[in-house]
Amino acid sequence: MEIKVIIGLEIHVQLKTNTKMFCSCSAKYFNDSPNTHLCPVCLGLPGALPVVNKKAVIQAIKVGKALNFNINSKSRFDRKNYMYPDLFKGYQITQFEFPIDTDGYIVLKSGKKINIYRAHLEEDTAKSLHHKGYTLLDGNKAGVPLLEIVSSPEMFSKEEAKEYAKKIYNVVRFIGVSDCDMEKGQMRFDVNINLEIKKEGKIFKTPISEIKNLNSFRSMERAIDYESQRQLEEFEKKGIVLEKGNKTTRGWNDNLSKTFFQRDKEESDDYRYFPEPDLPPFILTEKFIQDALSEIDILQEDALVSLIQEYRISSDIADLIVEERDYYDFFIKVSKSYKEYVNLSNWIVTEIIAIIKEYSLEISSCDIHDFIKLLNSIDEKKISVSSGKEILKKMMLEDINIEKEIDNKLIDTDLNKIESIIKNILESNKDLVQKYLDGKEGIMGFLIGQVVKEMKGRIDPIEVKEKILIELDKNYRN
Amino acid sequence: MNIAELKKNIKDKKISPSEILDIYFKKAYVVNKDTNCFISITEDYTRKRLQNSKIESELSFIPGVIKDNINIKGTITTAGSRILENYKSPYTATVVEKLGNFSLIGKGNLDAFAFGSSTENSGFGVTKNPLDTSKVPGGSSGGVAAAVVSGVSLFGIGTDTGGSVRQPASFCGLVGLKPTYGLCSRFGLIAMGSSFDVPGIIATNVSDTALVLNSIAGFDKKDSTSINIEKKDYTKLKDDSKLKVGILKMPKDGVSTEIAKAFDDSVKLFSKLNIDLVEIDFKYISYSLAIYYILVPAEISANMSRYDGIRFGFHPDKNFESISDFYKDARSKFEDEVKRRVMIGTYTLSQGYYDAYYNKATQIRNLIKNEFKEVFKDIDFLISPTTPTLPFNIGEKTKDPLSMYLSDLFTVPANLVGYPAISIPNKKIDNLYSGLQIMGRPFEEDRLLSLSYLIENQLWK
Repeated sequence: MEIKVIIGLEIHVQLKTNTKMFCSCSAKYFNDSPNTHLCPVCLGLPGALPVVNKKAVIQAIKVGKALNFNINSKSRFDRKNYMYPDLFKGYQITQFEFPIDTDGYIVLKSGKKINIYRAHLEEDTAKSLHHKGYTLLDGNKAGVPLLEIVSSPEMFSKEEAKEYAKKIYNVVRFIGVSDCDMEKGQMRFDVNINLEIKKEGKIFKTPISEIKNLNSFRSMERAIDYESQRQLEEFEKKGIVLEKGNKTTRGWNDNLSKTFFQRDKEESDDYRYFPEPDLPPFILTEKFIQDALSEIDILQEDALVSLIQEYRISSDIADLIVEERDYYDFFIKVSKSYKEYVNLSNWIVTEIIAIIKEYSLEISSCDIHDFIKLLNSIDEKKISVSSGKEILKKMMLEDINIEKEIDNKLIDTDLNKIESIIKNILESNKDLVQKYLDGKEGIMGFLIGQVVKEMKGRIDPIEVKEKILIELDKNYRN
Repeated sequence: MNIAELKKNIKDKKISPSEILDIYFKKAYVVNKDTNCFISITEDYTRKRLQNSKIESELSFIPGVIKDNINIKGTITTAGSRILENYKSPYTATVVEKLGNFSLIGKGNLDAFAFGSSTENSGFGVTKNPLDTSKVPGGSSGGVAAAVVSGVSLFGIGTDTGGSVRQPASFCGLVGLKPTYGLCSRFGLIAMGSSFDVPGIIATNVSDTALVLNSIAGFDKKDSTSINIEKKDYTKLKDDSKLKVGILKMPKDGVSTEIAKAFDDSVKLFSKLNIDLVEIDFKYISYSLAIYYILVPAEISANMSRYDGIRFGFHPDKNFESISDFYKDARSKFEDEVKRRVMIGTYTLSQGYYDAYYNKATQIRNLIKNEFKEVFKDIDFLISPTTPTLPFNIGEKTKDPLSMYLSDLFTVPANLVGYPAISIPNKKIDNLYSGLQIMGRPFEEDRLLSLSYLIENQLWK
């Protein structure tokens, strides 16, 4: 028996705009008191009419370019009819027949192309807060612009699905179209999944499940794992195969790590789409599209290529730098006056990003001018690399005077002093020195550390090592 | 008294704003008792609002009535439905903003959510025709027409989705104008069929209608279907020579003999004025009513979804097993005609029926639009009766929705294609009024009103 999992993803991205999709309420609602971002339009009051947010259209065009879509000059909004308390008008304004972006794709690391059917604009719903016996609604989220990106079902493992999702995440963030902060619900996944099972020369397909509203990469992966297993078990037990109309909708319970049945297609809604009469079909002129695209200074993949080809940075390191637009921008800014690009990239990836992650900082905590001074001082061997690292950390965490810090760590060139310190350290650690000579090489690190400490860090450990080796040769080896 | 006369009296200080309010409100209570033309009489609201007010707009202090499906902040806006019985709108419709500091006498009664042609389907009782209280005033803007013909207001703003301004104007011997779709903002009009709805004017004469249109016309960025065109002065008469007017070929059935006769008389009048006449036999116009009653209910079915009992309407004070049980309970309180149209619309949009109904109807609508474009290359105006019958009796058609729908036979095409159309009163027949409908080219309300002015004076010679 051979089993192939087939996955398609619908990704909802909240677009970065000042105002909501169809009204002038602020779209930046996170942590604000419930129901403070509302007006007759997004509350669906009788007689109120929607007006399209131009910025959201511009953002959709930019995503169109970044994900290799056709950007359609003719586009339209439709009404998707279903009733639920979080949908104030009783219909959602979305794009059904004529989305802005169609037929895009991305390429995975393996070289495999994943086609993306479409990306369309729509409005978010209100937030339901379920309590025992009653439900409260917060309308702040209602009407926030969403872009729904719908892939073709071409991913055949959770790894591919994750790579695809991650790529969308990175690409969209890189051009500043959304922050995709999943904790704030700015990016959500619906997973469409079923299995293709080869058994006794025949191919069986299991019924498709759509797992709704996954809000992290991790829960997406776990849901795929769980659901593949569940479908396999169900197939073996009941033998039900894919038919028209037997798709089911499932939810994900993160605490139980299980998907659960929500509804099947028979009872699921017929959305009765029809053209939104309040918004005439619109034409995106060539100029409008070009103006929108001119807001993109560089795409993530172009940034990556340029790091590798122009700056000669290894692809692993370059990958990490383009993961965040801020990192890339930082690299470019520093590179204007600091030309040791590979060294710079290593410092960013191994030191700066580590500090950022450890202390939850932004890269803006690293002052560009101070950082350049620091790198130059290290390159000129005024201070040691390890002193440099110490200063960097201090610099990012505290308000310091960089010149002073560098001065404090200037390498001591008093050879007599160094040699006498080394002599003293070796003498007072005779036992350890003997062990080192007997082959315990790890002891060298300790000895170096002692010397560096005694020198108050104002020496390059590599130089210390050389000098210890000389001293050992001279006075300890026979 | 017309608007111009009252304006002059106000300006000459022959009458003060507060005297106007005293006179008109006093009359309003009396007339309302007899006809039930208002859902609310807004005396407190208006007196407060006009305190210390000065002449600042074309219609300052002029008494007017607004159909109760048009939002005005500070008043109750019911749309004629019990679902919105206590609904206080937090904002004002653009067209009402544009009227400035007129004297709002009351909110006119209507068929619930404007679904109807007789003002019998209101959640707040039937409105009677003041000219003959056994008759309907027409609808759905029947309350507005009744108020204006009773002299409680000099003008009224209604809404016209398939004839809801022109038909009641015709039944009450008034002028009713449905402007081009997109000329006047829909922002704040409680939607019925969004791609058909327009605000419209009811007044006693053409000049007053033009004056009101001057106030309410114009682009509104809050309504994406409103069109940004150069502003016109509709009170200036256009001297049109060499007019060519199309006469709509009368359908074989459905038009009463009185109406056919009245229309013949109007046609003769045009000949007398040396206007070129040509009979127009449209190929697709006979489908108008059928597709109207597919497309409008479809849009209605979505527009009504927001009245779910959660934020509006009857919030049932008990617990339910499921949200759908809750909806069933809350939405069972809709008026019958509302339920009927929501169900038709839900059906025609459903999977498996969409292509046969909604899609097909849209295609025919486009055919009719194209046909109108072609026909209007050759003619300047198209004339027809406004309604196929004289005002009917209260109760006569309530049991037979289809015959009620037929009242819109001549008015619906203008909404399907978005063209402007006006109804001006014919001479009385058997003490009842009927109307002559003139349809013009899109955004040529200036020419339409000029011709109407000419005809109005001739018709009543």
